[in-house]
Amino acid sequence: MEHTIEFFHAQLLSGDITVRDLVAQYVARANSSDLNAYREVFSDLEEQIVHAEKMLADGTATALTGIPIALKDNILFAGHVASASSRILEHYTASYDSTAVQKLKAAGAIMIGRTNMDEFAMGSSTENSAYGPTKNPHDPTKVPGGSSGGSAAAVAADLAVAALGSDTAGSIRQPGAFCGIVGLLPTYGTVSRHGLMAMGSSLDVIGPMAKTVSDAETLYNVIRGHDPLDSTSLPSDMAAAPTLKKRLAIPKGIFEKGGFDEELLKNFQTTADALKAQGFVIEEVELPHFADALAAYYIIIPAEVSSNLARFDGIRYGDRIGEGTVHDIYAATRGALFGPESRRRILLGTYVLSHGYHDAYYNKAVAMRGVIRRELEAVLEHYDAIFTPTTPTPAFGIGEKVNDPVSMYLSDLFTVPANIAHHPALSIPSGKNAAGLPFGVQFIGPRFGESLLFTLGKIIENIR
Amino acid sequence: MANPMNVEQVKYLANLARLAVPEDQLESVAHDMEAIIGFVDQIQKASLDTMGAEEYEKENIFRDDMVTPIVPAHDLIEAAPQHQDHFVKVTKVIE
Repeated sequence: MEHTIEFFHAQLLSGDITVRDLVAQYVARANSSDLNAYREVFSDLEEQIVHAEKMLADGTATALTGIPIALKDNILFAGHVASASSRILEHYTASYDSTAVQKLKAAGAIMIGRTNMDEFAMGSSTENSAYGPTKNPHDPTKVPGGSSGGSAAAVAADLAVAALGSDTAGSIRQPGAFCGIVGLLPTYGTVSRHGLMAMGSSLDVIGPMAKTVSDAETLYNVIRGHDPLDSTSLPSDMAAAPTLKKRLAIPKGIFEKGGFDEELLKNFQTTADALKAQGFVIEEVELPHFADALAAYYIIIPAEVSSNLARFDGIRYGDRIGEGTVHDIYAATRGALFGPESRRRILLGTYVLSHGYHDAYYNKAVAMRGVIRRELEAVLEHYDAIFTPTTPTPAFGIGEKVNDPVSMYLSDLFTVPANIAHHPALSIPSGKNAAGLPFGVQFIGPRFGESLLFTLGKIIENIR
Repeated sequence: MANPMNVEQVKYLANLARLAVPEDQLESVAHDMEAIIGFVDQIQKASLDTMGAEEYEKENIFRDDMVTPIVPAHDLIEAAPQHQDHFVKVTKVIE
């Protein structure tokens, strides 16, 4: 495939293209696109270009040197605005680099811009951005998915070679599937969250979005690693290298719930058949609480959101609205500058954590997390991965679900269990429907089993 | 289990959350929250025969007390919406 990290790396090494020309090409494309994939294409790229040129000249270039990469708008890059696509941070400039950006800088990558997203990463369509939805490159009347919809659209439309997103319930994999690109949710704790704006701290993970599995692997290997600045970061040497058993598990009864796109299910079956033809054994297994992960998630996430977003108070960051007492300023600023979904989740979080409901909701959801994790671990002792479609349907229309939060939440049915259990998962394109909208399939692997997921992903790429 | 979400309850939660919700939106916010609570209520029905399942293993992370470069305080204060003479400006807190 052309225009991958691998492709341009070879071109840069051979001198067929220069860093400056490559960056100029991508900046021009990003600036002339009308998808609303970017919140901003950076104009101060000179220092990054010179750094990459120097690395190429003195033989210290890495696979990412000179490669234009897009950043989701919630990942801090010092000296640049990072707004989480919220009005409350419209004028906030990052004071420091996230660890992921530091690692990209050290590798010589070029951060060319920040991409549109659902406000504070809450949403599945990018429609919750305060700056308008991003359009799906395959059909501009459809959503690109979310919350990393801008990153997904940018990569799919070749407005960036690859991108970083963040995944709390599917926010890398679901837009990856909707836009026809590869997205990885790494094992929680393998990629530092330092400098990622916190939404759900026990769930958020930064991960790669790319055109090929190999590119996602390259990017993952650059951004991973222990970081003392993130106290949930895990030691770097925990990577497992399980051998391929050629055994995949499908959660039993998962398709009986209804609400699935027929053509998508057929595509999933075709992909499963192709894997069987390669010698894979694919079996239905009991995962009784797989589908309960979504309900647990929508208790845990508002609880964490209401706590994490308390810092946006009109005093310390971003913008301030109103006069009067401190309480008046807090309420006016937050009321005016948070969008409807953020407000909903703050209020819900306040509710589930309040006296009388804490045991019924939050503690039960936390217990459910433990149960789901044990169920996944038991199954993954005998199988390489749990195999599902990434989403129940292909990309839906802009405006279609915006007034029905619960129906929007159901987009995350297959993706959320991995977050809840801290397992890694990979979404890979698996074809398109008659209208040209992409489908994706997902592998949920054992903790630290990223290498196994890349192996499985490459098999899917080869049978396509 | 859950009480029906109503306008009064939304007002109560909005005050706790320090979040102004305009009067004309209280009804629709209550409606949406009711739907979401209805959805997550399925967790009440889930049979958790392993109730009390342990949460994730957690451990305290300590760092050595070392002098390292940090973000200059000046930059952090500049990030505040209102600041003056290297102080964040806050309205009067004590009456």
